[in-house]
Amino acid sequence: MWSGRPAGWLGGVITIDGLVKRRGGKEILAGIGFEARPGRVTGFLGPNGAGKSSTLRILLGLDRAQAGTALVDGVPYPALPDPVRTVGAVLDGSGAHRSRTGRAHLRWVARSAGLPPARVEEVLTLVGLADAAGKRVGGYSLGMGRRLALATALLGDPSVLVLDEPLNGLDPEGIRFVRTFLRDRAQSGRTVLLSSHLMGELAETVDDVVVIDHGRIVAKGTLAEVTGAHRNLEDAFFALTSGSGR
Amino acid sequence: MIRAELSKLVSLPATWTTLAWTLAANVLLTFVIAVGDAPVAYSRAGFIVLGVLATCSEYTGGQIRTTLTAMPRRVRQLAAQHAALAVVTLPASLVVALSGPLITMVVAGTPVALWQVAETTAYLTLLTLVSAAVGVLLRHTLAGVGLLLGCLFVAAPFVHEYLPDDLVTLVVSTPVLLIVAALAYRRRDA
Repeated sequence: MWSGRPAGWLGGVITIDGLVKRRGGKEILAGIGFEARPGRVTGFLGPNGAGKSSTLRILLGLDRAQAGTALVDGVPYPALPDPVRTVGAVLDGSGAHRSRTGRAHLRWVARSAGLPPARVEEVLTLVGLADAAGKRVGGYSLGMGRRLALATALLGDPSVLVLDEPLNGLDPEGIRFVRTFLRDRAQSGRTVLLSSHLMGELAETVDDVVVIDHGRIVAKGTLAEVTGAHRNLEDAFFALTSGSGR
Repeated sequence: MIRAELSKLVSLPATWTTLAWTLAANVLLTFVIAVGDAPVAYSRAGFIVLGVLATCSEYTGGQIRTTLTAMPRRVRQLAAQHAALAVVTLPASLVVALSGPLITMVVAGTPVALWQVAETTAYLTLLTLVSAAVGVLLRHTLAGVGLLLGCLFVAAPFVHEYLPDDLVTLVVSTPVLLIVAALAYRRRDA
Protein backbone atom coordinates (compact mmCIF):
# COMPACT_ATOMS: atom_id res chain seq x y z
CA MET A 1 0.00 0.00 0.00
CA TRP A 2 2.83 2.38 0.89
CA SER A 3 5.03 1.70 -2.07
CA GLY A 4 7.43 4.62 -2.18
CA ARG A 5 6.88 6.93 0.76
CA PRO A 6 5.62 10.33 -0.37
CA ALA A 7 7.64 13.42 0.51
CA GLY A 8 6.94 14.64 4.03
CA TRP A 9 5.75 11.18 5.09
CA LEU A 10 5.58 11.20 8.84
CA GLY A 11 5.08 7.49 9.36
CA GLY A 12 2.70 6.34 11.99
CA VAL A 13 1.00 3.24 10.63
CA ILE A 14 -0.63 1.26 13.41
CA THR A 15 -0.94 -2.44 12.67
CA ILE A 16 -2.77 -4.66 15.12
CA ASP A 17 -2.98 -8.36 14.39
CA GLY A 18 -4.49 -11.33 16.19
CA LEU A 19 -4.48 -9.85 19.70
CA VAL A 20 -5.63 -12.25 22.38
CA LYS A 21 -5.93 -11.18 26.01
CA ARG A 22 -7.21 -13.31 28.85
CA ARG A 23 -7.59 -12.06 32.37
CA GLY A 24 -8.68 -14.32 35.21
CA GLY A 25 -9.83 -17.05 32.82
CA LYS A 26 -11.98 -14.59 30.90
CA GLU A 27 -11.20 -13.85 27.29
CA ILE A 28 -11.21 -10.07 26.86
CA LEU A 29 -9.78 -9.97 23.34
CA ALA A 30 -10.33 -12.86 20.94
CA GLY A 31 -8.07 -12.09 17.99
CA ILE A 32 -8.32 -8.36 17.35
CA GLY A 33 -6.83 -7.07 14.10
CA PHE A 34 -7.06 -3.77 12.25
CA GLU A 35 -4.97 -0.95 10.84
CA ALA A 36 -4.96 2.81 11.42
CA ARG A 37 -3.31 4.88 8.72
CA PRO A 38 -1.67 8.30 8.46
CA GLY A 39 -3.85 11.16 7.30
CA ARG A 40 -6.99 9.56 8.69
CA VAL A 41 -8.99 9.57 11.89
CA THR A 42 -9.83 5.99 12.81
CA GLY A 43 -12.72 5.50 15.22
CA PHE A 44 -12.47 2.40 17.40
CA LEU A 45 -16.04 1.91 18.49
CA GLY A 46 -17.77 -0.47 20.80
CA PRO A 47 -19.93 -0.72 23.91
CA ASN A 48 -18.34 -0.41 27.35
CA GLY A 49 -16.38 -3.54 28.22
CA ALA A 50 -15.98 -4.59 24.57
CA GLY A 51 -12.17 -4.51 24.80
CA LYS A 52 -11.34 -1.04 23.44
CA SER A 53 -9.17 0.09 26.35
CA SER A 54 -7.44 -3.29 26.61
CA THR A 55 -6.50 -3.10 22.93
CA LEU A 56 -5.13 0.44 23.28
CA ARG A 57 -3.22 -0.46 26.46
CA ILE A 58 -1.55 -3.36 24.67
CA LEU A 59 -0.73 -1.10 21.71
CA LEU A 60 0.96 1.32 24.16
CA GLY A 61 2.95 -1.42 25.87
CA LEU A 62 1.10 -1.01 29.16
CA ASP A 63 -0.52 -4.44 29.11
CA ARG A 64 0.75 -7.69 27.69
CA ALA A 65 -1.20 -9.80 25.19
CA GLN A 66 -1.14 -13.58 25.31
CA ALA A 67 -0.95 -13.67 21.51
CA GLY A 68 -0.80 -11.32 18.53
CA THR A 69 1.07 -8.14 17.74
CA ALA A 70 0.43 -4.41 17.97
CA LEU A 71 2.97 -2.38 16.02
CA VAL A 72 3.72 1.26 15.22
CA ASP A 73 5.59 1.50 11.91
CA GLY A 74 6.40 -2.19 12.30
CA VAL A 75 7.85 -1.87 15.81
CA PRO A 76 6.29 -2.85 19.15
CA TYR A 77 5.77 0.26 21.31
CA PRO A 78 8.41 -0.54 23.97
CA ALA A 79 11.04 -0.82 21.21
CA LEU A 80 10.30 2.60 19.66
CA PRO A 81 13.53 4.62 19.59
CA ASP A 82 11.76 7.86 20.53
CA PRO A 83 8.29 7.09 21.94
CA VAL A 84 7.33 10.65 22.99
CA ARG A 85 8.00 12.00 19.48
CA THR A 86 6.29 9.04 17.81
CA VAL A 87 3.09 8.39 19.77
CA GLY A 88 1.02 10.60 22.04
CA ALA A 89 -1.47 8.80 24.27
CA VAL A 90 -4.53 10.12 26.06
CA LEU A 91 -6.03 7.52 28.40
CA ASP A 92 -8.68 8.08 31.06
CA GLY A 93 -8.01 10.71 33.73
CA SER A 94 -5.15 13.19 33.68
CA GLY A 95 -2.27 10.70 34.01
CA ALA A 96 -0.74 13.09 36.54
CA HIS A 97 -0.17 12.93 40.31
CA ARG A 98 -2.65 15.22 42.07
CA SER A 99 -0.11 17.04 44.24
CA ARG A 100 2.09 18.13 41.33
CA THR A 101 1.30 21.24 39.31
CA GLY A 102 0.28 20.82 35.69
CA ARG A 103 3.52 22.49 34.61
CA ALA A 104 5.70 20.26 36.81
CA HIS A 105 3.98 17.20 35.36
CA LEU A 106 4.66 18.30 31.78
CA ARG A 107 8.23 19.24 32.68
CA TRP A 108 9.26 15.77 33.80
CA VAL A 109 7.69 14.19 30.73
CA ALA A 110 9.47 16.73 28.52
CA ARG A 111 12.74 15.97 30.29
CA SER A 112 12.32 12.24 29.68
CA ALA A 113 12.39 12.94 25.94
CA GLY A 114 14.98 15.72 26.03
CA LEU A 115 12.42 18.37 25.03
CA PRO A 116 13.04 21.99 26.06
CA PRO A 117 10.94 23.62 28.84
CA ALA A 118 9.65 26.10 26.22
CA ARG A 119 7.75 23.24 24.61
CA VAL A 120 5.85 22.78 27.89
CA GLU A 121 4.59 26.36 27.68
CA GLU A 122 3.61 25.84 24.04
CA VAL A 123 1.39 22.84 24.72
CA LEU A 124 -0.12 24.52 27.79
CA THR A 125 -1.21 27.42 25.58
CA LEU A 126 -2.35 25.06 22.83
CA VAL A 127 -4.84 23.26 25.08
CA GLY A 128 -5.85 26.41 26.96
CA LEU A 129 -4.29 25.51 30.31
CA ALA A 130 -1.70 28.29 30.52
CA ASP A 131 -3.53 30.06 33.35
CA ALA A 132 -3.91 26.89 35.43
CA ALA A 133 -0.37 25.59 34.85
CA GLY A 134 0.82 26.61 38.32
CA LYS A 135 -2.12 24.98 40.09
CA ARG A 136 -1.97 21.48 41.52
CA VAL A 137 -3.63 18.82 39.39
CA GLY A 138 -5.80 17.83 42.37
CA GLY A 139 -7.60 21.15 41.98
CA TYR A 140 -8.37 20.62 38.28
CA SER A 141 -11.85 19.94 36.96
CA LEU A 142 -12.43 16.77 34.95
CA GLY A 143 -12.19 18.77 31.73
CA MET A 144 -8.92 20.43 32.80
CA GLY A 145 -7.48 17.01 33.62
CA ARG A 146 -8.37 15.84 30.12
CA ARG A 147 -6.71 18.92 28.64
CA LEU A 148 -3.57 18.21 30.64
CA ALA A 149 -3.55 14.64 29.31
CA LEU A 150 -3.86 16.01 25.77
CA ALA A 151 -1.05 18.50 26.41
CA THR A 152 1.14 15.62 27.63
CA ALA A 153 0.38 13.63 24.50
CA LEU A 154 1.28 16.59 22.27
CA LEU A 155 4.63 17.40 23.90
CA GLY A 156 6.68 15.54 21.30
CA ASP A 157 4.47 16.64 18.37
CA PRO A 158 4.03 12.92 17.59
CA SER A 159 3.01 11.40 14.27
CA VAL A 160 0.43 9.22 16.02
CA LEU A 161 -2.25 10.14 18.54
CA VAL A 162 -4.01 7.38 20.47
CA LEU A 163 -6.98 8.54 22.52
CA ASP A 164 -9.26 6.47 24.75
CA GLU A 165 -12.71 8.06 25.01
CA PRO A 166 -11.32 11.58 24.43
CA LEU A 167 -14.71 13.27 24.62
CA ASN A 168 -15.60 11.91 28.08
CA GLY A 169 -15.90 14.62 30.70
CA LEU A 170 -15.59 17.49 28.23
CA ASP A 171 -18.02 20.40 28.00
CA PRO A 172 -19.51 21.25 24.57
CA GLU A 173 -16.72 23.75 23.93
CA GLY A 174 -14.11 21.13 24.80
CA ILE A 175 -15.76 18.55 22.54
CA ARG A 176 -15.73 21.00 19.65
CA PHE A 177 -12.09 21.84 20.32
CA VAL A 178 -11.00 18.19 20.38
CA ARG A 179 -12.96 17.32 17.23
CA THR A 180 -11.52 20.20 15.22
CA PHE A 181 -8.09 19.52 16.61
CA LEU A 182 -8.13 15.83 15.67
CA ARG A 183 -9.35 16.62 12.14
CA ASP A 184 -6.47 19.10 11.77
CA ARG A 185 -3.96 16.48 12.95
CA ALA A 186 -5.19 14.00 10.34
CA GLN A 187 -5.21 16.74 7.69
CA SER A 188 -1.52 17.36 8.35
CA GLY A 189 -0.76 13.70 7.59
CA ARG A 190 -0.75 12.30 11.08
CA THR A 191 -2.49 9.19 12.39
CA VAL A 192 -5.34 9.53 14.86
CA LEU A 193 -6.83 6.50 16.58
CA LEU A 194 -9.60 7.16 19.05
CA SER A 195 -11.98 4.92 20.93
CA SER A 196 -15.52 5.77 21.89
CA HIS A 197 -18.81 4.24 22.93
CA LEU A 198 -20.69 7.31 21.69
CA MET A 199 -21.55 6.81 18.02
CA GLY A 200 -23.45 10.01 17.37
CA GLU A 201 -20.57 12.14 18.63
CA LEU A 202 -18.16 10.70 16.13
CA ALA A 203 -19.82 10.44 12.77
CA GLU A 204 -18.49 13.84 11.67
CA THR A 205 -14.99 13.25 12.99
CA VAL A 206 -13.89 9.84 11.75
CA ASP A 207 -12.79 8.62 8.30
CA ASP A 208 -12.44 4.94 9.12
CA VAL A 209 -14.38 2.87 11.59
CA VAL A 210 -13.52 -0.32 13.48
CA VAL A 211 -16.37 -1.81 15.52
CA ILE A 212 -15.56 -4.15 18.40
CA ASP A 213 -17.98 -6.19 20.50
CA HIS A 214 -17.20 -8.87 23.12
CA GLY A 215 -13.51 -8.82 22.17
CA ARG A 216 -14.11 -9.40 18.46
CA ILE A 217 -14.06 -7.07 15.47
CA VAL A 218 -17.55 -7.06 13.98
CA ALA A 219 -16.98 -4.49 11.24
CA LYS A 220 -14.22 -2.35 9.76
CA GLY A 221 -13.89 -0.04 6.80
CA THR A 222 -14.51 3.55 5.81
CA LEU A 223 -17.34 5.39 7.52
CA ALA A 224 -19.53 4.90 4.42
CA GLU A 225 -18.72 1.19 4.18
CA VAL A 226 -19.55 0.50 7.81
CA THR A 227 -22.67 2.63 7.83
CA GLY A 228 -23.77 0.81 4.67
CA ALA A 229 -27.51 0.61 4.19
CA HIS A 230 -28.23 1.88 7.69
CA ARG A 231 -29.60 5.33 8.35
CA ASN A 232 -26.49 6.40 10.25
CA LEU A 233 -23.46 5.08 12.13
CA GLU A 234 -25.45 4.72 15.33
CA ASP A 235 -28.05 2.46 13.70
CA ALA A 236 -25.32 0.43 12.04
CA PHE A 237 -23.58 0.07 15.37
CA PHE A 238 -26.64 -1.26 17.15
CA ALA A 239 -27.37 -3.67 14.33
CA LEU A 240 -23.76 -4.91 14.39
CA THR A 241 -23.51 -5.28 18.15
CA SER A 242 -27.01 -6.77 18.43
CA GLY A 243 -28.06 -4.04 20.80
CA SER A 244 -25.54 -4.94 23.49
CA GLY A 245 -24.38 -1.32 23.53
CA ARG A 246 -26.29 1.19 25.55
CA MET B 1 15.93 9.40 32.19
CA ILE B 2 17.52 10.00 35.59
CA ARG B 3 16.89 13.72 35.09
CA ALA B 4 13.22 13.04 34.40
CA GLU B 5 12.96 10.86 37.50
CA LEU B 6 14.77 13.46 39.59
CA SER B 7 12.42 16.15 38.34
CA LYS B 8 9.49 13.89 39.28
CA LEU B 9 10.83 13.28 42.78
CA VAL B 10 11.67 16.88 43.66
CA SER B 11 8.38 18.25 42.30
CA LEU B 12 6.45 15.97 44.65
CA PRO B 13 5.70 18.02 47.78
CA ALA B 14 5.50 14.83 49.87
CA THR B 15 9.24 14.27 49.30
CA TRP B 16 10.10 17.50 51.08
CA THR B 17 7.50 17.25 53.85
CA THR B 18 8.66 13.70 54.65
CA LEU B 19 12.31 14.78 54.82
CA ALA B 20 11.51 17.86 56.89
CA TRP B 21 9.48 15.85 59.41
CA THR B 22 12.14 13.17 59.59
CA LEU B 23 14.87 15.66 60.39
CA ALA B 24 12.66 17.50 62.89
CA ALA B 25 11.77 14.22 64.64
CA ASN B 26 15.41 13.20 64.76
CA VAL B 27 16.54 16.48 66.29
CA LEU B 28 13.72 16.40 68.83
CA LEU B 29 14.44 12.79 69.78
CA THR B 30 18.11 13.59 70.21
CA PHE B 31 17.20 16.13 72.89
CA VAL B 32 14.85 13.63 74.53
CA ILE B 33 17.07 10.54 74.42
CA ALA B 34 20.28 12.53 74.12
CA VAL B 35 22.65 9.85 72.94
CA GLY B 36 24.29 10.37 69.53
CA ASP B 37 22.62 8.50 66.71
CA ALA B 38 20.21 6.41 68.83
CA PRO B 39 17.17 8.42 67.61
CA VAL B 40 17.79 7.11 64.10
CA ALA B 41 16.25 3.84 65.32
CA TYR B 42 12.95 5.74 65.23
CA SER B 43 13.46 8.43 62.62
CA ARG B 44 14.44 5.79 60.01
CA ALA B 45 10.66 5.36 59.68
CA GLY B 46 10.72 8.62 57.70
CA PHE B 47 13.09 7.13 55.14
CA ILE B 48 10.80 4.12 54.79
CA VAL B 49 7.94 6.50 53.97
CA LEU B 50 10.15 8.38 51.49
CA GLY B 51 11.14 5.20 49.67
CA VAL B 52 7.66 3.74 49.48
CA LEU B 53 6.22 7.09 48.36
CA ALA B 54 8.77 7.43 45.57
CA THR B 55 7.48 4.33 43.80
CA CYS B 56 3.86 4.12 45.01
CA SER B 57 3.09 7.72 43.99
CA GLU B 58 3.21 6.39 40.41
CA TYR B 59 -0.13 4.77 41.09
CA THR B 60 -1.89 8.03 41.97
CA GLY B 61 -3.88 9.67 39.18
CA GLY B 62 -2.75 7.08 36.65
CA GLN B 63 0.74 8.58 36.50
CA ILE B 64 2.22 5.12 35.86
CA ARG B 65 0.67 5.17 32.37
CA THR B 66 2.36 8.48 31.61
CA THR B 67 5.65 7.15 32.96
CA LEU B 68 5.55 3.94 30.94
CA THR B 69 4.40 5.54 27.69
CA ALA B 70 7.19 8.14 27.97
CA MET B 71 9.81 5.60 29.14
CA PRO B 72 8.59 2.20 27.96
CA ARG B 73 11.81 0.33 28.69
CA ARG B 74 10.68 -0.59 32.13
CA VAL B 75 13.80 -1.96 33.79
CA ARG B 76 15.81 1.09 32.70
CA GLN B 77 13.08 3.43 33.91
CA LEU B 78 12.92 1.65 37.27
CA ALA B 79 16.70 1.79 37.59
CA ALA B 80 16.61 5.54 36.80
CA GLN B 81 13.92 6.02 39.42
CA HIS B 82 16.00 4.30 42.09
CA ALA B 83 19.13 6.17 41.04
CA ALA B 84 17.26 9.48 41.35
CA LEU B 85 15.99 8.41 44.76
CA ALA B 86 19.54 7.63 45.86
CA VAL B 87 20.72 11.05 44.64
CA VAL B 88 18.10 12.75 46.84
CA THR B 89 18.41 10.37 49.79
CA LEU B 90 22.18 10.25 50.21
CA PRO B 91 22.62 13.91 51.26
CA ALA B 92 19.38 13.78 53.27
CA SER B 93 20.60 10.68 55.14
CA LEU B 94 23.91 12.39 55.82
CA VAL B 95 22.16 15.42 57.32
CA VAL B 96 19.94 13.25 59.51
CA ALA B 97 22.81 10.94 60.51
CA LEU B 98 24.97 13.93 61.39
CA SER B 99 22.29 15.89 63.25
CA GLY B 100 22.21 13.66 66.37
CA PRO B 101 25.99 13.39 66.96
CA LEU B 102 26.41 17.13 66.24
CA ILE B 103 23.84 18.07 68.87
CA THR B 104 25.42 15.65 71.34
CA MET B 105 28.82 17.22 70.64
CA VAL B 106 27.56 20.75 71.20
CA VAL B 107 25.57 19.85 74.33
CA ALA B 108 27.79 17.22 75.96
CA GLY B 109 31.13 17.75 74.22
CA THR B 110 31.25 14.14 72.91
CA PRO B 111 33.25 14.07 69.66
CA VAL B 112 31.45 13.05 66.46
CA ALA B 113 32.28 9.48 65.45
CA LEU B 114 32.66 9.98 61.70
CA TRP B 115 32.76 6.27 60.89
CA GLN B 116 29.44 5.81 62.67
CA VAL B 117 27.90 8.74 60.77
CA ALA B 118 29.00 7.15 57.50
CA GLU B 119 27.51 3.82 58.54
CA THR B 120 24.20 5.42 59.49
CA THR B 121 24.11 7.35 56.19
CA ALA B 122 24.64 4.14 54.22
CA TYR B 123 22.04 2.34 56.33
CA LEU B 124 19.38 5.02 55.76
CA THR B 125 20.06 5.24 52.02
CA LEU B 126 19.84 1.47 51.54
CA LEU B 127 16.72 1.31 53.70
CA THR B 128 15.10 3.92 51.43
CA LEU B 129 15.97 1.91 48.31
CA VAL B 130 14.62 -1.29 49.86
CA SER B 131 11.42 0.58 50.74
CA ALA B 132 11.11 1.79 47.15
CA ALA B 133 11.46 -1.80 45.91
CA VAL B 134 8.78 -2.97 48.36
CA GLY B 135 6.61 -0.10 47.06
CA VAL B 136 7.04 -1.40 43.49
CA LEU B 137 5.92 -4.86 44.59
CA LEU B 138 2.90 -3.74 46.64
CA ARG B 139 1.81 -0.64 44.65
CA HIS B 140 0.10 0.68 47.78
CA THR B 141 1.70 3.29 50.08
CA LEU B 142 0.00 2.35 53.34
CA ALA B 143 0.48 -1.38 52.81
CA GLY B 144 4.15 -0.84 51.99
CA VAL B 145 4.87 1.43 54.96
CA GLY B 146 2.89 -0.87 57.26
CA LEU B 147 4.73 -3.98 56.15
CA LEU B 148 8.16 -2.37 56.47
CA LEU B 149 7.47 -0.84 59.87
CA GLY B 150 6.11 -4.20 61.01
CA CYS B 151 9.27 -5.94 59.83
CA LEU B 152 11.58 -3.41 61.44
CA PHE B 153 9.87 -2.74 64.75
CA VAL B 154 7.92 -5.94 65.42
CA ALA B 155 9.57 -8.84 63.59
CA ALA B 156 13.22 -7.73 63.55
CA PRO B 157 13.77 -7.83 67.36
CA PHE B 158 12.71 -11.52 67.37
CA VAL B 159 15.00 -12.64 64.56
CA HIS B 160 17.78 -10.20 65.36
CA GLU B 161 20.12 -12.74 66.93
CA TYR B 162 19.99 -14.94 63.82
CA LEU B 163 20.88 -12.10 61.47
CA PRO B 164 24.21 -10.42 60.90
CA ASP B 165 24.68 -6.72 61.60
CA ASP B 166 21.79 -4.47 60.37
CA LEU B 167 23.89 -2.81 57.70
CA VAL B 168 25.19 -6.14 56.37
CA THR B 169 21.62 -7.46 56.21
CA LEU B 170 20.63 -4.43 54.15
CA VAL B 171 23.65 -4.63 51.86
CA VAL B 172 22.57 -8.17 50.98
CA SER B 173 18.81 -7.65 50.86
CA THR B 174 18.79 -4.41 48.84
CA PRO B 175 20.03 -5.84 45.52
CA VAL B 176 17.92 -8.98 45.98
CA LEU B 177 14.73 -6.98 46.51
CA LEU B 178 15.58 -4.59 43.68
CA ILE B 179 15.98 -7.50 41.26
CA VAL B 180 12.75 -9.16 42.44
CA ALA B 181 10.91 -5.82 42.05
CA ALA B 182 12.37 -5.25 38.57
CA LEU B 183 11.35 -8.75 37.43
CA ALA B 184 7.78 -8.24 38.64
CA TYR B 185 7.63 -4.71 37.17
CA ARG B 186 8.93 -5.82 33.79
CA ARG B 187 6.30 -8.47 33.24
CA ARG B 188 3.09 -7.20 34.75
CA ASP B 189 0.22 -5.17 33.32
CA ALA B 190 0.73 -1.57 34.39
